[in-house]
Amino acid sequence: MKVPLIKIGDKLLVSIQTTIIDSVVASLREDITNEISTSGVKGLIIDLSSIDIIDSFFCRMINDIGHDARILGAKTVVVGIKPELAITLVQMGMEMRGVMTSLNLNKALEILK
Amino acid sequence: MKEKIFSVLAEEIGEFKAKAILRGAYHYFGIEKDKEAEDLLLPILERVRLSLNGENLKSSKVDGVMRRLQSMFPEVKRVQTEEEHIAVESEEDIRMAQMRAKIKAQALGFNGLDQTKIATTVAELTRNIIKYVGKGTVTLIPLLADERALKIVAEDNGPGITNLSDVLSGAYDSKQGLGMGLLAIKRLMDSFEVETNSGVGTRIVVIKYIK
Repeated sequence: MKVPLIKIGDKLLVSIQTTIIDSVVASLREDITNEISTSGVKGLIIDLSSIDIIDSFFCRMINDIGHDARILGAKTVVVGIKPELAITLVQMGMEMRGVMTSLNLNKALEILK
Repeated sequence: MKEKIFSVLAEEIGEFKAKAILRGAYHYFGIEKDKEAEDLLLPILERVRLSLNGENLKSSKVDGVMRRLQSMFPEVKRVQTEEEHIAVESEEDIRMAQMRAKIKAQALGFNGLDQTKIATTVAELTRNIIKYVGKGTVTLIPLLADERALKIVAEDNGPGITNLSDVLSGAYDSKQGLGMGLLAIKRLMDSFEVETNSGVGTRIVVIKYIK
């Protein structure tokens, strides 16, 4: 299953719809980094509003993507994390390092302006 | 089964949306057209609930529809009391196991936050099995004594965890993340026990109480 990437102006929107399996992660990172380096987008928005569960693996994947993007000169904003997921992540001791977060897409676009 | 679900949904939210939601739920689990997939009833109902939530309906309306659906299937009641054995053999099973855990937790009466914690724990446990051993089992056991709870047992016949104390003290920082995962489980659950023997396997038992 491929995760679609949508380009809006100089931003790239990635909407992750379901729990990602290992084999998809590598190709997703590749797709995103390729897109950033070829089209020179300055901002990456990762939409997690359809995600019900974030485990440590998933969290690490988001951090890694944010890291990739930063090295390529793009800022990453993660949007739409559900409140119960936020609480669960904090209790687990997980951190979203190297990415910014915002409540929704509008706010993310403002941050990346 | 499909027809039954459809008739309720159509009555509540109209035929057009009912058809779209039901098709989406069946598609999510890769069920072929014209197949019923009775064994996936509960995961399918859970998908339906998620889709209803995305339809901008009031939550009381969603609850009402779900109660109507659940009352039509006696097997939903069984979920509250029966042990559930989940074989974990592929990455796809991670998603299935976490969904089943969420449904079980919901049926037992856990609140939304604790349902999420339980599903996350099962995701970590199954992910560890797939990553480090390849196959194993996860069992969901409802405890129905004075203090209602859900017990989760994850078992495998893998190589065992040789540096368990380092992992649990946080001293060991695995690149692949076993340390983080086990610590996370410990923090999310009320009780946490690991039995691990080199070359024999690992058995992790956790319990979450209903508050």
